Amino acid sequence: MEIIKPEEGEILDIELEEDFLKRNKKLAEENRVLLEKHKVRAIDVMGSIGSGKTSLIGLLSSFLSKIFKIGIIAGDLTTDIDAKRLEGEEIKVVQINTGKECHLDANLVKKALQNLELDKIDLIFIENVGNLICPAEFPLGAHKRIVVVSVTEGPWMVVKHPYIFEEADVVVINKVDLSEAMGVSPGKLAKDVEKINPKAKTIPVSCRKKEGIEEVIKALNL
Amino acid sequence: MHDLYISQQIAREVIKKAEEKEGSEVLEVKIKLGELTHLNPEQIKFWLKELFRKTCASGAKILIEKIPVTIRCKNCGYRGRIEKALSEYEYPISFSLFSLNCPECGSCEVEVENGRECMLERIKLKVK
Repeated sequence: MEIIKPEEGEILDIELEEDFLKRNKKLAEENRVLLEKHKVRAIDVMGSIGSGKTSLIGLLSSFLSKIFKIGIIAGDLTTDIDAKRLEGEEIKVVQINTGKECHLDANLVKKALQNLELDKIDLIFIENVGNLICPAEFPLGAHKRIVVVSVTEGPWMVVKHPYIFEEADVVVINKVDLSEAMGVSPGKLAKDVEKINPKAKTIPVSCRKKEGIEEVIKALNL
Repeated sequence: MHDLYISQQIAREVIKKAEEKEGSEVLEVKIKLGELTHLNPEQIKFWLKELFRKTCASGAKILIEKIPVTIRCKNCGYRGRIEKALSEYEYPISFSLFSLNCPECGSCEVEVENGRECMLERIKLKVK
């Protein structure tokens, strides 16, 4: 068969239409299908560094471990400190180290899911990398997305990062026990969230005092 | 924020395509970037130039087209552009962002139709 080839020095104009963010979205959809096949619900926990993502996941897990078999995917740049904090007899933790990346992506989560026995799990918490910007652009396939923000980060955390709050189903305002000392109003932060995303449920929480955790569970429809 | 991460994927794809098509030189790379992505055309260009160094794409012209944000309002049916504005906030915002509200009725029940693209649209290749 004669194969038609371009001549030497000819210029080819190749249309590709390859969308790199859509690639992630497609993988996220595949993750969702896999989770649903195994009847597993997944929750993506996002928030800035030190806002209390690990503490919240730890508390949610201990409140829920009697009802659900729980798995955790912990995302971090280089360490497994959080994974070790969260690991328990009943709870299986998989660590993802992103190296230099500022967010988890659906491909990394897909790999992590392969390391969890999905038939033996009902609920997965995915702890994203501490960052209020990049994770917004990378869905992972989770059923719900929580954003954790804390009063110790100051009064402007919500308005400065609108995109991530647009993606949230539940917003946790953590460390409310320190709000007076910080001079930061949790109510004002909640109002900022409402302006950006009126559909999100905003819950004041103090992980340290173990307050508000039941309300978060309710907001997640678990 | 993740400009390097995305640039690496774009660069890999460009080189792969060039090799597949037996190209000797990539002359042009055309990228579409939605204004709602967290990607900065300047940084993408910078990283691609670095990543293309010593490859068949080292001399490629990098063209980036910005795609404006358009929405469809589920409340009033408005379809079209939205303006960059967060002016309802009392805080000073020097680098203004889009607020995803309908410019006609103010509803936030909107669907983004354009503006989230991060697309390697086409490459121009000189064949061996």
